[in-house]
Amino acid sequence: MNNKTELIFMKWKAELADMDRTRAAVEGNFELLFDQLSRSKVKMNDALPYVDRAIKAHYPSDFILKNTYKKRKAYSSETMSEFESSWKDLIASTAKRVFFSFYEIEGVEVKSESAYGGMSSSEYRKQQRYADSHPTIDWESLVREKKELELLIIKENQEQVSQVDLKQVRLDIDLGDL
Amino acid sequence: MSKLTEEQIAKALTAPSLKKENVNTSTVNLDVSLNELDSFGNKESIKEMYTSMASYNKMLGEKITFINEALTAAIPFTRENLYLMCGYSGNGKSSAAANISYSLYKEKKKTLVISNEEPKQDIIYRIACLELGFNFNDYKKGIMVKAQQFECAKLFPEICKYVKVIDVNYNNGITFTLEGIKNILTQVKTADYSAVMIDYFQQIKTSVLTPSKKGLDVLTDLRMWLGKYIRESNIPVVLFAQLHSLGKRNNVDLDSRIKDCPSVYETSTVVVEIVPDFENKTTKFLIKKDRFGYSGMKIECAFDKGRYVEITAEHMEKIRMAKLDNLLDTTGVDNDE
Repeated sequence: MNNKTELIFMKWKAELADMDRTRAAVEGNFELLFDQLSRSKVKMNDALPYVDRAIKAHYPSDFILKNTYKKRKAYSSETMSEFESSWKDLIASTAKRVFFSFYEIEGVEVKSESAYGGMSSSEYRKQQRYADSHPTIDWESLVREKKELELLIIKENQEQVSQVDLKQVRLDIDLGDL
Repeated sequence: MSKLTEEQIAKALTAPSLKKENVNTSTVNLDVSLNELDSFGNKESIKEMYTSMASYNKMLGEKITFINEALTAAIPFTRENLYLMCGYSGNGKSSAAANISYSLYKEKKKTLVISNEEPKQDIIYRIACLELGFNFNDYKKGIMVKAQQFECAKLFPEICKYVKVIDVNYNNGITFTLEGIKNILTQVKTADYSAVMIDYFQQIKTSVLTPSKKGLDVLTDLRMWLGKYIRESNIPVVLFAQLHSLGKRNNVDLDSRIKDCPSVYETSTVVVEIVPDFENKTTKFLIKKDRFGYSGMKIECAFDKGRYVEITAEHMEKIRMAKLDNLLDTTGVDNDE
């Protein structure tokens, strides 16, 4: 077993405990793992055994399963076991889809779906995560500070320029336009 | 200040002009004398520097807008700068170009758009849509009503006073050629334009004078020429460039993702990556390189009726409601129930 791969998986699993694990977040959670593995140049064959382990790690606990089922029971005809298997199937299929979006099978042509602006949904999410890693400049304070600075400069200029002889005697060059 | 008519531009771009440039480049004077070096700091050279400083101050005083108020505050739009706007295909490069032209048009400043992607009528149409709050894509999809189309068309003469376009069809595709681009830029170098935009960089792949020149050599020649041009020109140049998708690259560094000629990153003084968030109808402008202290940060704007504006609570509520409507549609629940 590759030590680097195991460490990446362990780290992801530990972080998973604090992640949002609802349906909408499943894809993003697996993307974090497989993106990290592929960027760390872990080969497909080394990463593949981690798909099943990641799926199991993402399964809901019995407590969560039972409580969620109780809440849904009022408007769903599913049995507890049907509900459990549909939830787990969703996790498993999402994990596999995300895995193959990061690892292409050699010799097999990939035709990725175009979800957003010519990107597949996993490409798109990766782009969003990358963009979000940049700190945001606050629009309002940026504009306000810029205006305050400009006013200050205008004031300083008015006070100081009147004290300066704009004709430089030695160079005989008019600085008035500066 | 001289004003350029379309005829003058056409004349300047004909074959004799191309030949003339060839003669000029082959007779560059490489002599340097010690006297010349020592003369630096004399009255004339100081005067020349003061003149340039005054000219720079004058331009700063004009405060031309770069897309919107916040982006202008972070990235002043000034001469001596080459602005590189990068984006993945379909991520809003043409929208950004239209927003730059639109702001300048509103300030009654002249812009030159060199387009090797969109035809001239689309470029002007986009600006008309921004003015009227229409969706340009409705026109492209054939779902814009005639009355709206007429309203847009009526604005064309006024917009064209300030937004000059040299498009894909001009002079048999001169906007795809190295020499064509150089000649166009040379014409406006000291003219009364406030900005020049090239949409987009990687399409300039051929050299008329050296047809054997490969695409990368053409782009390298152009980016080096641009580096010199912006230092001598009255106007800033905005270059739009395509990126490789982040999803297919392990290296997220922007300079490694610029298609065909990543070294244009070095020549550019300001580099911005455009990243749209299609779900929340916002766009993130990532400042990757600048001279103004915001490198590594981003400005997030709402994308509303084609314009990049401030994100307000009202915008986010509108998006939330649209998402809810969409969800109700897909689940088949009637909103009124």
